[in-house]
Order: sequence, then C-alpha cells, then structure tokens
Amino acid sequence: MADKVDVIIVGAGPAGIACALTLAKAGVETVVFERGEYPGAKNVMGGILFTNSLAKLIPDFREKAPLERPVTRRKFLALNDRDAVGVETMFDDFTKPPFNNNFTVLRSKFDQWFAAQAEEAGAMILSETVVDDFIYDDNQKIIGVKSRREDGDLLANCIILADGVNSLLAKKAGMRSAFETKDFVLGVKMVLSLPKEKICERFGLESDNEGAAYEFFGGVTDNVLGSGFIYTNKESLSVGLGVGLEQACKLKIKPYELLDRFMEHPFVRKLVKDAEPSEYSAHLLPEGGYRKVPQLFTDRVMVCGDAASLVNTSVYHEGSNLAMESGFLAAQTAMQARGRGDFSAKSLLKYGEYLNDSFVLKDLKKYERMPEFLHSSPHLFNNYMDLAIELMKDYFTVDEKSKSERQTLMFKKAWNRVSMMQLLSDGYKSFRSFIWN
Amino acid sequence: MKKLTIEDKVGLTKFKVDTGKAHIKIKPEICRECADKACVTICPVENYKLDEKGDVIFAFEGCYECGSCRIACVKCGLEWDYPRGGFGVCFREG
Repeated sequence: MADKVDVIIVGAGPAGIACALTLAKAGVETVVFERGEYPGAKNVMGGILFTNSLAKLIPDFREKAPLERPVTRRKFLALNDRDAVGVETMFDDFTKPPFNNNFTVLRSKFDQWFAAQAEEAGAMILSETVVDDFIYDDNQKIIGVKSRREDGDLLANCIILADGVNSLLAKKAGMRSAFETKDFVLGVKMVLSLPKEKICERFGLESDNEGAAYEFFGGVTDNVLGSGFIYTNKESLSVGLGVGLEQACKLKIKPYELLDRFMEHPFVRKLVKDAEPSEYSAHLLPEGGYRKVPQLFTDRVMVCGDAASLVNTSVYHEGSNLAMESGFLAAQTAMQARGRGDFSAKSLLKYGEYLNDSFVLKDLKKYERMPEFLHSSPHLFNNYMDLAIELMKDYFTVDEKSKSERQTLMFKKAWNRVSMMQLLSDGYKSFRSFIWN
Repeated sequence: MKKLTIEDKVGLTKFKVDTGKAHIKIKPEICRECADKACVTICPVENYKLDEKGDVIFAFEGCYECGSCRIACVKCGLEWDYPRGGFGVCFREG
C-alpha cells in the first residue's frame, strides 16, 4: 500500500509553491512534485512578476527574493515595419515601495528561491519527478497520484493540480475540455546580457532600483495577433513576443523569425545593440480567458494557476499574481476541508467561491469577451495602429504643404481606410471588451 | 547584434538529454497524409523538419517541451509526453 499525506501538489511554479507555502506554514503535511531538475527549470515568462499576492505570503519578499528591478517606467508603443509611436508613463508613486507590485524577474532564479521558502516552512519538494496519472479507489474517485519514479505512488486527502499550461492531469481528471490552438499564445524570448550602465543609459534609469517595461503592439507580430516586449533586468534584457497559436499555424508564421524581425526594427535595434545573447526560450500561455476556465474542483482535487487558465488576457498581461492567489485560496480551502474531515467536491466548493470573490475571476470575468472579440477580427488592432502611425507621421511632416491641406489629406486617408459604420461597430465591440462588459 | 540562426539560439540552452528515450513520437503514416504540417511551422526550436520527400522528420533532443505541437496537431499524429523527471530542457534564466 502506498504512503499517504495530507496534500499533494503537482508543479512547483508560482501557484503550486504559493499553495505549498500556505499549507506548510499551517503545519499541513504537503508534498510537491516537480518534473524539472529544480523548481523553475521548465518555467518561462515574459518577465514581470506581479507581487500583490506574494506580499501577503512573504511580507518582506523585497529584501529577500531574487528580484531583478522594480518597473518604474513603462512605454506602450505601436510599431509598423519602420516607425514607432508610443506613450510613456512614469508615476512618481510607482517609483517608491511597494513599486506598484511590479518587478522584473528571471523565473529560474525566482522559482528556486520561492520553492526554498516553502521547503523551509516544512513542505517536501520532490524535484525530477513527473506525475503521470492518478490512483483511483473502487468508486473511480481520485485518491492519489502515480509518479514516474520507483515506488512513486502516493495517496493524499487532497490533490492540487498546478502543473502548468499543458495540464495533462486536469484533462485526465476530466476537468477540462480539449486543448485548442485558439486558446493559446506562444511566447518566444531572448535574454540578452548587457552591462548595468548601458541598461540605465538606454532606458533612462538612474540605478538598478529602477526598471523599464516596454510593450509593443501592431506590425511587430505581422498580421498575427500578438505583442512584443522588452523588460530590463539587473544586467540583462528580456526581449520577446507572443503570438496567437491558431493564426501563427494558419498563416505559417514562424515565431522566432518574428522575434528576429522585431529585434531588427529601427526602434528596437538601438536598445539591444551589442547585447550578448544568454538564453533563448519559449513557453505557451493560456489565453482563452474566463470562458475557458476549466472545472476548478472535484472530489479531492483543485486546479490552480496556468493549469486553470487563470491569465488576464487583456492589456494587463497578469498571470503570476493570479497563479499565486489561486494557490493560496486552494490552500485555504484544503485546510478548511481538513478541519471538517471532508474533501468531497461539496466541501471544496469554497475554492470556486473564493476565486469568484477575488480579483482572479473578477478580472477574468470583466474581460470575458476579449478573446472572442480578438479572434473575430484579428487584423483589427494592427490595421488601426498602422493607420494611427501613418496619420501621426503625416501630422508632423514639415514640407511645402500647408497644415490645413495636410490635415484634409489625413482626414481623407482615414476615411478611405475605415468607414464610419466600421469605426462605430469596432468601437462598440472594443468598448464592450475593454471597458464595460 | 549579430543575427543568430535557430541552431545558435537553441545552442545557448542547457539540456539534459535522455539518450534514446524520445518523449514525443510521430506517426509517419498520419503525418504523410497531413496537409497542414503545423508542427513544422510552430515548433519554436525547429525540431520538426521536412525531408527531401516532404515527410516530417523529428528530433526530440532540443525540445523546449512547450506543447505547441501537441495542441497544433489536430490529426493526432503525435504521442506527446514529458521527458523523464530531471531530463529535457533546463532553463538557466527562464
């Protein structure tokens, strides 16, 4: 007979570790399975960690965690193949603690540190161990997991699936539908080493206690829906982009070729000049939004983080904080269930309620129309952005034409490209997706 | 910045290869009939290539385990699993 523990967590990412840390601090016997050589070995993200949930779990994380830089300057830029038009923000409040809960990180370092905190609190982390399947009782109820190691079967009162975007286990448990390309974005990224001084100089930063996050939209991803980014780390840049999997497949666009083109764009080229490539990586993001959130709990089982598709697919790009919050709430639920000695779906119902009442599902719900809207008109944003860049360029052109003449031409150009009906219709749909649900 | 080939890029990454134990297997008879061959387009490390006959050939060693091919393949032409614990890609930066 296999051993039994209180809680098994599959996956040592932000969701799994937030859950493990919460449980271990409360003295609950917790085992975390991680398939990587160490926590973080398989994990990639663009690079901004949103720390509102982390601050609840480890209040002094800013002194202890291997953070790269707080994000104190942001830029949002529309690109076509040669030009750039953007908005820059620098809010003085965000340049001071708690830095608006935005920090750049490199996941391999951060995840190892975060996992070590859970271990210190008493959780057991079994790295290098893949969980392949569940153990079922005579009534076909899940009561444990089968891992790919000798004597790898382990039973538990409660099993938390935090096994990431490809959650094969949530599928096996019958909690989620088939994986479809339209619900995923593929991110590709380069980490480029660059001396501190150069980073500060190029991004207008005074010290490594300041950092920049640039987000790029429009032609950067060709005609595919997606966006690019450059984030500053202490001594490197994270440069990457994400493209919708469905369209990239359909239009036969290779993601790394887009990344090459992005890095050669006149605006981007100067920022990455002479930087030394350190690592290339790729990872999927679950971008199906609220309507693609799977069944979140069943008897003895809860799903957290990317495995539960908990990513805010709007302009916010938040995921790490939703992952940690969901892990934390699953832990709360598990502890209450433990108190009752009842881990049935009915007893775990609270997990769904907690998520509904938190920013996690509230934010996803607010933007529930977004994925469908974006898929229904994938060129929409790129077309409008291209037009906006052209108009802006026309507006600032100095030549023989009078300003009135120039502006009349601009108006005609816009009119020829977008009809009033289309503008109203797109405007309405954007409004419903972005602002008022 | 010098332009890197995909081989150069993947060459920067650390792997622990589970020699002879491919975690992804393709089914040539299905792939041959597949018109899309989305795996060839989407794989971020170019692990799927076409040979001179136009058949898909696959190498598992430089795989990032991202799962894109698994989702993009709608013809069920591949068996996709994770590598053995501790093996496969090992991101140093992430």
